[in-house]
Amino acid sequence: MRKVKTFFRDPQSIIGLIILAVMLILAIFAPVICPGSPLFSVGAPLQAPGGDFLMGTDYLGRDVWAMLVWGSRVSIIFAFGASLLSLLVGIVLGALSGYIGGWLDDLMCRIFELFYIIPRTFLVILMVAFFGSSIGLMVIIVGLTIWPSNAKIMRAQVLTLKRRGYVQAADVAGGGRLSILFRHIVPNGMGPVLSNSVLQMAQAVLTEASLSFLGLGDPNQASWGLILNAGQRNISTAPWLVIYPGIALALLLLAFNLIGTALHKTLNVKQTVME
Amino acid sequence: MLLEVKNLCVDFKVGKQTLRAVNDVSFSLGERDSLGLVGESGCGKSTTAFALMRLLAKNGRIAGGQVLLNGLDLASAPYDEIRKVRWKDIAIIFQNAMTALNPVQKIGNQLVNALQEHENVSRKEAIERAEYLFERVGIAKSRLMQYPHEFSGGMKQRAVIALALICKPKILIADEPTTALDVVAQRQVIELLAGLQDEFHISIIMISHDISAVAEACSHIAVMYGGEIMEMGNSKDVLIRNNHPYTHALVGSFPSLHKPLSALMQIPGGAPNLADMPVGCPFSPRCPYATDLCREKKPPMRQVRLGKLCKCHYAEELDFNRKEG
Amino acid sequence: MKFGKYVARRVLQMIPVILAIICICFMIIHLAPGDPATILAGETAADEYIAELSAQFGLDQPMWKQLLIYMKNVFQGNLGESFADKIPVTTMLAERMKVTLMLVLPSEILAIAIGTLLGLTAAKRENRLQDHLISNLSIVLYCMPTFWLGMMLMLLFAVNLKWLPTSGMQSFNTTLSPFLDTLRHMILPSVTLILVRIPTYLKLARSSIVEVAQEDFINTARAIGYSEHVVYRKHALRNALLPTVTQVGMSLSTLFSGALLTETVFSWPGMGRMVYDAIATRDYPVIMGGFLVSAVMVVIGSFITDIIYMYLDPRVVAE
Repeated sequence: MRKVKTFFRDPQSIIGLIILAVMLILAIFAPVICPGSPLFSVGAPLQAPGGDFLMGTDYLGRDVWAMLVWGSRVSIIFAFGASLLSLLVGIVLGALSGYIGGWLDDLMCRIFELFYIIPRTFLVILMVAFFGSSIGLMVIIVGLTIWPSNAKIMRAQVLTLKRRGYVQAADVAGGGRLSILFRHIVPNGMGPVLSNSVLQMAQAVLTEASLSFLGLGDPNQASWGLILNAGQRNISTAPWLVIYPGIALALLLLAFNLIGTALHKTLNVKQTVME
Repeated sequence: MLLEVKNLCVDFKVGKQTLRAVNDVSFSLGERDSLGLVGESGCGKSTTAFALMRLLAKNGRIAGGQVLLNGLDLASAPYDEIRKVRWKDIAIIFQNAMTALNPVQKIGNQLVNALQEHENVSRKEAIERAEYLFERVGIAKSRLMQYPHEFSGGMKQRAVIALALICKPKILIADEPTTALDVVAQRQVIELLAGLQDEFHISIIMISHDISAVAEACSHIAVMYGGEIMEMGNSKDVLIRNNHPYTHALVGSFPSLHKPLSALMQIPGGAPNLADMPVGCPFSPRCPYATDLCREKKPPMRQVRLGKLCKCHYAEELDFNRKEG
Repeated sequence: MKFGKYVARRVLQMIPVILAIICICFMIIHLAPGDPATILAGETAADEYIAELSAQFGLDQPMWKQLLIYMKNVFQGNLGESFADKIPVTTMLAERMKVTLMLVLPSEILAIAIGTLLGLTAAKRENRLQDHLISNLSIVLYCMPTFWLGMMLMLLFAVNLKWLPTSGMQSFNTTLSPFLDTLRHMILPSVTLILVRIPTYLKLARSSIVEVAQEDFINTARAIGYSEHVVYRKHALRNALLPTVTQVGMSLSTLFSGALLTETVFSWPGMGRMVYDAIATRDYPVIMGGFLVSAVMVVIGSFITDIIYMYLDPRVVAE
């Protein structure tokens, strides 16, 4: 309870939660706020903001505001989809690796190292270029490239927790090894993994935006990266195409980073002792 | 007098509270004197020593009193003056020799740099001095150009002593110099320090929780409790003819070769909470002889006999009891 | 002697990593929808070329043999041929890599220096105004997407103020010497890369200096009477740099991703821009080659950082 309180008192987490709440509202109520597909041309191309369109139009005459609102959906889906997948894979593999040890652990540690070395965004680009860029597939690809950090954290948690008294007590009391692992150890080691997951949401959103910006995004979805991609080509004539979606993207990244850092701080409270 | 500490007070800010870690501490140290500061952990003995060198943590400050060294008040002198005094006049051996040396610098360079910080000597001269000190503490001088991780625990302890003596300080503060060592090594370090004291004419302030070890190494002892000095005097006098129940308990709580283990006493209760000190004598909650007077009125520091100061309303009675057997 | 042994062991460790990276490339080619030959040759390739490639890569052989052939080809520097430009990928990479490194290396070094110095300033004033200011600024900077930051800088300094060129590496009509002209083109992409990398090093330097500042040997340094400047610069910083060096090694991989986006924004003709152009034309051998080479560069880079670490921390060799 005390931890929950400190979390909600931290100005950083409050700012983060407010931004995230606004983005969630935009994402959920997109069809209400901006009815109709955002990908249809609704006006003259490259109109400046103000006039008929709050944030102007792009080179195909599409409403930037509508694309921005619908784009929040893509970002949110990415954030939660990819980090959830990464969380699941990371927890299971990390927990097994730490609990069983031996060759499995050795293998996992090699894999973690490999993932640190491979340029991750580059790998995602490669896979998306080869396998196609539907949004579902992209979520899976991103989720499957970011799990190692979760697994690494969970592995370390399991290694410390399995020596604790209550775990050993459960071991003596009987019950399958896997049930001990997933009932007693994993739930107690979730803290740091969760805060890392929030930071991974930022990573997932950024990866999606980068892919769309590079022209690898799902062409059937209005995403912020897609607007930015168009904006880059018209930067001198239509700077609004670059400014607004970029601000939205930076704000969402800020939200996830603030919440993640605040969670990290609250979950690892270190008491200071005198002398 | 070389060093005179008068009514020294040190405050720490913890959260919104201000705690007094050292309260009205006075003592003096003559040339080639040795004084032991003794007490349980948290009694303020280390804080007192750090305050002398103005090495308090960021949340600590000297709240009052004077620390006079050759007429200069270290408690109020500007920071740059203090920096000149450090190591040149007062050097310190920190509690944990294992981590007191910079791990990424060769030990010899650490000695040479410290000397060159304070004295205008060539590197060659500095190295010669470092070599002499290394041999003096019993380490081959060829090891000067090694890193701390290449030294064993005992060697690190001796290297730290050599480092402390590189500028020929007048006063050496040794913070628990023997705690981490085994009995044989403890003895060696104490003897080494005694030999160095004679050779370099230094005064030593030794901080320890082990009153019998300090009694062997130091001529005088000050017993601290809850940030205050409770009893101070000649080592033998404090050890054998103690006047304060706390000293008495402290002496009884350490094993000695001369008495059976069954005679070991335990002091009831825990170290005092600085945030919640009693109105009267700080030791009264744990004192077996405490009366209402002790709980209500703080005993003043007074002279019990020549050279013996004590802060207890009933200082004479412990003495009396002892005579009675 | 010990040193040589350590280096040798470290070199041996690199081999399985490089093999694993090659395996990943191989797997992607074979798992991707479509025929591997078409992927390697391009959809518009002539039948003879496809046949030639099939023979070269042994595409009619069993899988494990194909993997061996693929590895052999990679080690011989045969990464295929670009569909679009009809020149060997290796030739393209060699040329483009130079241009990328020219941009990335100085930027990264500056980012480390600036980030660490800012972190030092923040750590010295822990929890005071300057610290909060620097730390908050760093959070904001950290949340800026590389490509967006690049575009905003371009918008401000190139489009509006017209101080600097928007893109490319050289102008056609200029009075400047080629060197200065290239330097002028380098400013915006470098600043972008520096700005996005500062927060990582700042945060790291700040936290490790704050941590080191609590160590006993820092107390010793203060007790010796060194000035705060010397205490931090000579004693705390060198110890605190160790995690920074590790971080450089670990974040080299993000460096190439950052370069890809920055080069795309500023049309800097390096490897990143090459990959971007290849994405547009689905020029698979080029994308693959870019990935392979940057992954190998990261492996070599992390090897170099390990050697630097060893110089900074004498304890490593002993362990």
